[in-house]
Amino acid sequence: MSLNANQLHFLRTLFPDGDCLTAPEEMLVFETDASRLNGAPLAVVRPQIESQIVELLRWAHAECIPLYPRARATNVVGLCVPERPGIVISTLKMNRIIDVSADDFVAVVEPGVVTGDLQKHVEAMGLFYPPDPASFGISTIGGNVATCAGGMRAVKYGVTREWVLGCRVVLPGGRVIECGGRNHKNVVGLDLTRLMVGSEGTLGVMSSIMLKLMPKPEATASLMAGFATLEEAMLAVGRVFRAGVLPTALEFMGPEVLDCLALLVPVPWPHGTGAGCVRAVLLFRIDGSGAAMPADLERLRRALNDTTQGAPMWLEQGVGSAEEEPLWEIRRLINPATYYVAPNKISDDVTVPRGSLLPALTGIRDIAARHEVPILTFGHVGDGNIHVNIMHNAADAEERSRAVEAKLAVMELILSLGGTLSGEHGVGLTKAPYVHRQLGEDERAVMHDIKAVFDPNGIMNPGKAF
Amino acid sequence: MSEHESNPPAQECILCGRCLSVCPVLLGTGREELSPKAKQHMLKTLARNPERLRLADCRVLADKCLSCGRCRTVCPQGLSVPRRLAELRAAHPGWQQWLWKQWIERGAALWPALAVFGKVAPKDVGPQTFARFMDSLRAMAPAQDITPWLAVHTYDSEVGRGRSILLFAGCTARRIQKAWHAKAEAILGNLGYTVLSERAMTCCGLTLDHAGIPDAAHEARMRNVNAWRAAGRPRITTFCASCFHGLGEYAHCADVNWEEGEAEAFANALVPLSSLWGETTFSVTDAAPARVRYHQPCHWGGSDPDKAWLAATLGARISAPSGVQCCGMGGVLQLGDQPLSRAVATRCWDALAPDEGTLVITGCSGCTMQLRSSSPAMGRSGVPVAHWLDCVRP
Ligand SMILES: Cc1cc2nc3c(=O)[nH]c(=O)nc-3n(C[C@H](O)[C@H](O)[C@H](O)COP(=O)(O)OP(=O)(O)OC[C@H]3O[C@@H](n4cnc5c(N)ncnc54)[C@H](O)[C@@H]3O)c2cc1C
Repeated sequence: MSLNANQLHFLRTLFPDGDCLTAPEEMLVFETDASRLNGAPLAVVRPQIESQIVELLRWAHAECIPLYPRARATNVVGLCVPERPGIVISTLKMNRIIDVSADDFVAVVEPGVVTGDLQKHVEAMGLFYPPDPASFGISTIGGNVATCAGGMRAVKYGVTREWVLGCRVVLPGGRVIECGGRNHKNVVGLDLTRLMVGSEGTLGVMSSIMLKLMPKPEATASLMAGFATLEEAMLAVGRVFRAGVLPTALEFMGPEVLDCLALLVPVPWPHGTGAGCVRAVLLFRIDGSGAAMPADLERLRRALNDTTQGAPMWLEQGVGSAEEEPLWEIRRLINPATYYVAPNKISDDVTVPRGSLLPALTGIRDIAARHEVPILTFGHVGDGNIHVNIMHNAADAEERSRAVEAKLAVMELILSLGGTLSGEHGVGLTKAPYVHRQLGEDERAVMHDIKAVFDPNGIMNPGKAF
Repeated sequence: MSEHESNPPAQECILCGRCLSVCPVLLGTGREELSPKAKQHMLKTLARNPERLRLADCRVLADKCLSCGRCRTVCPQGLSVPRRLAELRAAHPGWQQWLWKQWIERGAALWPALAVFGKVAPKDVGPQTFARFMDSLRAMAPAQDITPWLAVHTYDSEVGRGRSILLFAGCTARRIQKAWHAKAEAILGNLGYTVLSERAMTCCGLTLDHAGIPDAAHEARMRNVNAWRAAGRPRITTFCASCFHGLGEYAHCADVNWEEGEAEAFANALVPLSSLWGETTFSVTDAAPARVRYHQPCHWGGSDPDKAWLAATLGARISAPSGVQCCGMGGVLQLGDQPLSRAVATRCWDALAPDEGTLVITGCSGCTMQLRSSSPAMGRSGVPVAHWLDCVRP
């Protein structure tokens, strides 16, 4: 399939001056994203203002041509891949911060603003936008909203969803709807804003987004705690929450992760498998007022130091970002370290209710033993989100099939615990074949009906999500 | 197994998109097809499915790179786009590369003449591109508008006592900005060094490499290494971030006939001029500008000795924009796509946000020239731009 002369003429007129790409060489990168899956763009357009999107969606709706909104393409599930031939809409030229109000505690931005840039901007004004996916410096607000991105600070501040007050959305056919607004409270009508958050580009194109802000916390501190066993670490998580401490972030690293980190760098904790060696690590961050920080740290330490359930055998603390950074750097090294275990991995970001973390982690450990593949578990344990890396050598067909079986077994386990297949990365193309395992027929039918109201011809990011 | 499920070979782009946040070309244009990621994907496709793409069109995209090397510093796979593109250019040489070669190799004869010509050429003559071309040439004229205002109070002459040092001045200072060369020589002398002749040395080779002329780059490297050997393997210093980067790469170059341990010795011998002050003290004279803005050259690659020294010496008088700011000079882009190079420069100047009392200083010959040629109008003339050596009264 290709565009005819009339269609090309329309696009080139609407997107002049190099904002309409049709040469294969120029369009090449737009066929893929961080999932490394491939599709086939017919054209790439770069709107700079909302009216261009309106015209485009009016036209594409009439012509029934698929559209693929695309920001920085850092999603890892194939969300930007034009699986069916269609037009890619790059939002990178819509990257203005329109308004930041220190009175309303609201930021209004175009979708292509990089999340980290917005954070820097508002923090200079004493304000704070908490969602912090690890990709905060390389992904956009539009992408974060469309995927409902999570982050380290989600334990205390929640995921992107909690911070979206409203958005303007251009619908196929050219209608523009205004969802939500500048109010921090608003109960009039159905919550269309929430529907847009996490919709993975399947309903319409967001042309501007209104975000909630809060005052920037004055101080932060981090505490890394090493335990003798996985079980002791998980019991400690429960104790901390029960003691009334709500950490900003709470990360977990299992024994297999500690082993591979030790292969990559000198680790600060006593490493090994003998007595006195650390086999599980928790990493906490807390924030608040500078004056309260020592007392809050002390309360966290007291909650951890319960001798009946197994106190941490090793602790290291950092106050303020310069001291905290080295602790968090270890967490960031996990990904490169995993390849010391095996050359290939299948990774998932499953999530379970917080109380089911221990059965989930021990269950995964059993699956690893049963299928004889190393499975690394780590992640945002504070909100039940576990990154599962099934390590294997894909060149060995038998090992590869064991890894795939292990993946399915993990999925079954997570669903049996009332969990979800994805906590933050989304469904996209890669998890689409499994969605029916989690969502019932009726629920999916309702979702398809809703989609049809927004997009009757099914042109928005087809084949993704649900 | 589909490709996305297998892990990529070590030296392959994983499309994570980290490079987009540091690439001056992407940041200045919003055009993802010009990003390092896009170039990596294009090179991979050219290697595996060449029938899908037209080489000529790929080259046009490939040339839109500033060779600043920032993408490599954030790439989890350690990939360098400038290097990959240079390999591509080396296999398919073209006109810009030829032009660069002329500029650099025959620069001794050519550059000063061009600089003079640029100075007398009327601004409104010829088409736009000609005017811009002349702008960059004009910038090569010796700086005359900077009165030195950072006086050395007392030298730490112990720093160099009894030691010899090679001053690697680089193409610009050898040919155009001879005052920099002379000043640096005086400074080193006052620090107690015996300054050795660098006459046998030539271009560091960085630009030749990026332009895809590996043979000439290799020749330049060998000449410099042999000159260093002949001088008894002394310390080498330079006051240009790009030359420092270019020379720093030698230790990783397999084409240099290093002896056992010699590459390491060369790397250790190389020191930036601004790190040699020791306990030297300075005083700021009345000629100092009201506001000094620092432009960080891309080629310091994260650790910038000039910035550290200037901050310690000038305190609150000096400030720098945050984020990635590239002057737009690098690579073959300056000759191949001047509008794009301009777009990058404009973004850089927006961040520098000069006012009437501002002086912009930097520590790279290329940046100085590019910033001078792109400096926005301010009052009766453009914003003054200096290499820090211009400001120092030795
Ligand atoms: C190194 C790395 C670390 C990561 N860490 C995290 C993490 O910690 N947490 C996490 O949640 N994710 C993480 N991710 C995944 C990814 O960064 C997120 O999914 C992010 O939200 C995608 O943003 P983007 O700007 O790249 O959007 P893209 O990938 O370009 O697009 C994502 C989706 O948003 C849609 N979209 C974009 N703009 C619009 C618009 N204007 N209107 C409608 N739809 C739109 C697209 O159609 C697509 O469906 C990580 C990825 C990488 C590479």
